[in-house]
Amino acid sequence: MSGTAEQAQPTVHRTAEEVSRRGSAQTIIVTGILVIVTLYFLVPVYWVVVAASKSTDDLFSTHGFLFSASFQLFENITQVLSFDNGIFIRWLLNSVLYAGVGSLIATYFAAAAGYALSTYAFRGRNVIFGIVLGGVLVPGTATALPLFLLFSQIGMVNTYWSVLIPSLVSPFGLFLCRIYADATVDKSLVEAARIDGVGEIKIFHTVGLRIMTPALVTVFLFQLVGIWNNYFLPLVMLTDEGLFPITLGLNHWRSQTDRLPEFYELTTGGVLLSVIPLAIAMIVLQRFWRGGLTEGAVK
Amino acid sequence: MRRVSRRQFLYGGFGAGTLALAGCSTPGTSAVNTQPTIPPAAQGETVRLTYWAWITDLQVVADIWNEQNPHIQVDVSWIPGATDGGYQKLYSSLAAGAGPDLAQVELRALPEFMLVNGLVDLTRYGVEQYENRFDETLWGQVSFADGVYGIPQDSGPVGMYYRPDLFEEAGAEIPTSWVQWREAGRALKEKGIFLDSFPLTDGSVFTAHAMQAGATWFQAEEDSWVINMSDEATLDVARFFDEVVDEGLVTTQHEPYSPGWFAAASNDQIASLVSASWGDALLSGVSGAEGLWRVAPAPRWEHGYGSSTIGGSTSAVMANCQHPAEALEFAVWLNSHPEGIDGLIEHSGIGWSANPEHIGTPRQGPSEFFGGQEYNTEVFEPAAYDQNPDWQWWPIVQQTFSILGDEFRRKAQGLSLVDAVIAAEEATIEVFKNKGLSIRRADR
Repeated sequence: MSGTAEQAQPTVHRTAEEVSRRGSAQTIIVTGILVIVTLYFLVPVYWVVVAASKSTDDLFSTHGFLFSASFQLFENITQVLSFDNGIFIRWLLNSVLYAGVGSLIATYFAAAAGYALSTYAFRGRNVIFGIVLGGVLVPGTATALPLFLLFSQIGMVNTYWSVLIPSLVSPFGLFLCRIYADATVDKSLVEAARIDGVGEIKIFHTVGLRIMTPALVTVFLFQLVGIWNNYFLPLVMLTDEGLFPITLGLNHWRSQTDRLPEFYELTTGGVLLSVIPLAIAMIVLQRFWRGGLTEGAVK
Repeated sequence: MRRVSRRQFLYGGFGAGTLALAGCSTPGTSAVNTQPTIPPAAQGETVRLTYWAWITDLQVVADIWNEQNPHIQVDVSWIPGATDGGYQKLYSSLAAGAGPDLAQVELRALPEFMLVNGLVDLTRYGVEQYENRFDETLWGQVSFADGVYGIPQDSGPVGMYYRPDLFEEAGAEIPTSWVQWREAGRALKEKGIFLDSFPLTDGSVFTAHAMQAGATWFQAEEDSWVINMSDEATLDVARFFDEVVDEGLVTTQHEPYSPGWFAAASNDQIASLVSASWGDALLSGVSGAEGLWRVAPAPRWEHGYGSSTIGGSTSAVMANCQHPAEALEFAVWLNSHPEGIDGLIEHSGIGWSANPEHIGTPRQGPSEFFGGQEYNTEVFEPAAYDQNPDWQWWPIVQQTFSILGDEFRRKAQGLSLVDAVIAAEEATIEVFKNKGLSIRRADR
């Protein structure tokens, strides 16, 4: 059909048509790549949903990507939530506490420090910035053991604080906040507020934080995901099962599969549930995130 | 079992210099076994012990003890299994001068914990009086240099799980020797069934086969560790499995008990599994397997022993324990008293009991899953006492296993298992030297 259409086209329109054809080819390629990338990210999630809907028997005897005849997603989830007096809910709440409170305070600290490094000119501020930036390069796993020794000496291992306190700092967040504040927080605006007699702390809270909101959302999300998925620090710090975050708890269950295969179902069901809070956070916060990046670019 | 003398210990692989080095590299640890012993708590005083382990529901078993012994109360915490993070946690707590009184440490990991002064020598607290309650081979594996560094908890004597129906379908006999086993594999292959699986990524199964064939990879001598990984027995085993893998009689795709293996087993594609006694619980995870499997003694080599062992743990008293005498008392009860063993089997699913007098009440009588066979008393009990008594674990076992795994993987690129074993021996010697442990090759 496109052949007849082409024959009917007058020669004058050829260039315009070529342009549009090339445009549509690009669209197809880009869409194709995006579809592949989407699949790449969603297939594991799909697999988790399928696996969580099966009995342990079916998990290994039926095809991994097809639902089996007996659909028992809800039975599995009920079991996950009620097993061992609802310990999973406790783990979930712990994770929410560590990740939620941790990333909120971490974001606030990062914003305050980034704002200060950007707004105030003082001797050594670039040295401080450089040192903190060095912290970005040190993986969290490498600091877990020294932190453990430190917390052990002050007798704080195996408490909520031992996981929460190290989560309160985010060198990457500070880096991002400073760069963002450099670009967006207008010095004359700060100056104007000072002339109006507003205190420095209040300027930060009313002017600085508001302008930096998009960057803060980014920092918050990064930190949230980081703490939520953190495994090694809680592993070293915590001994009491009641303090475990979800990552450690799920691994506890997974390790039982060696002797008790029914734990496979608890683990996959738990994995499914543990993804949901992060997915919600992403969906709710993504509009700020997107808005934020463009704002920076336009500026 | 040939014990290592104190002289061998001091001047051997664990040499004094090495101990000092280990002491430096792990801050906070001190040579606990040179300090004065800690006397038992006074009458009427209540002692609280902490115990870190990865076996399930150990607290339930400890509560049986807690009820009978109000003055020694045991609190259990779960830690991730061995190299999944559990040892990492134990090492860091040792370095911090803290941690539990008791911990689950695998038999093969004891030498590694001894290198960082992590364990209490229990002979200082009179452990000898309990020696007769435990299996001789296992006692040998916790004894180093006149010292005893853990109370054996369980082991994994090896037998052969098999599917009589598949063997019959292929017209194959149930093998009693490895040569017959290979012949059965050829018959099964014609029906498109794998005889077994051979894991290329995990050295521990191959190690067990070599152990059964009579190999002794390590020995501690007067002046150093003596390595003999490429002795004739081991190379024979490697040559044998080279042929078996090349003929395609076993699958190298699915490690035993991996999800892929479970799928293959439930699709009737795997006819047998030479594995440890604790494999029984895992087999029950094969979909629709009830009544299909039976257990027979492991096939034998022309030389060596009737069985070998995979896995096995101890209850070890850790260096920072404040009440070693009480900890020892509990560890002995847990692992040798019938109540303790039955509890461990029922709630924690431990492997083979370390007390030859009591294999465990749940393990007696016919098994429904294995079609009414009394497989524990019939196969695994004799297997537990037909072991290579000279076998000894060395300080970097886990590393040797991964080195072996790395080398085995090259089988896919055409390298033979024989070459892999020889290369792994070289690499292991290198690791010993890098750790400052003296090592030399055995004379042949």
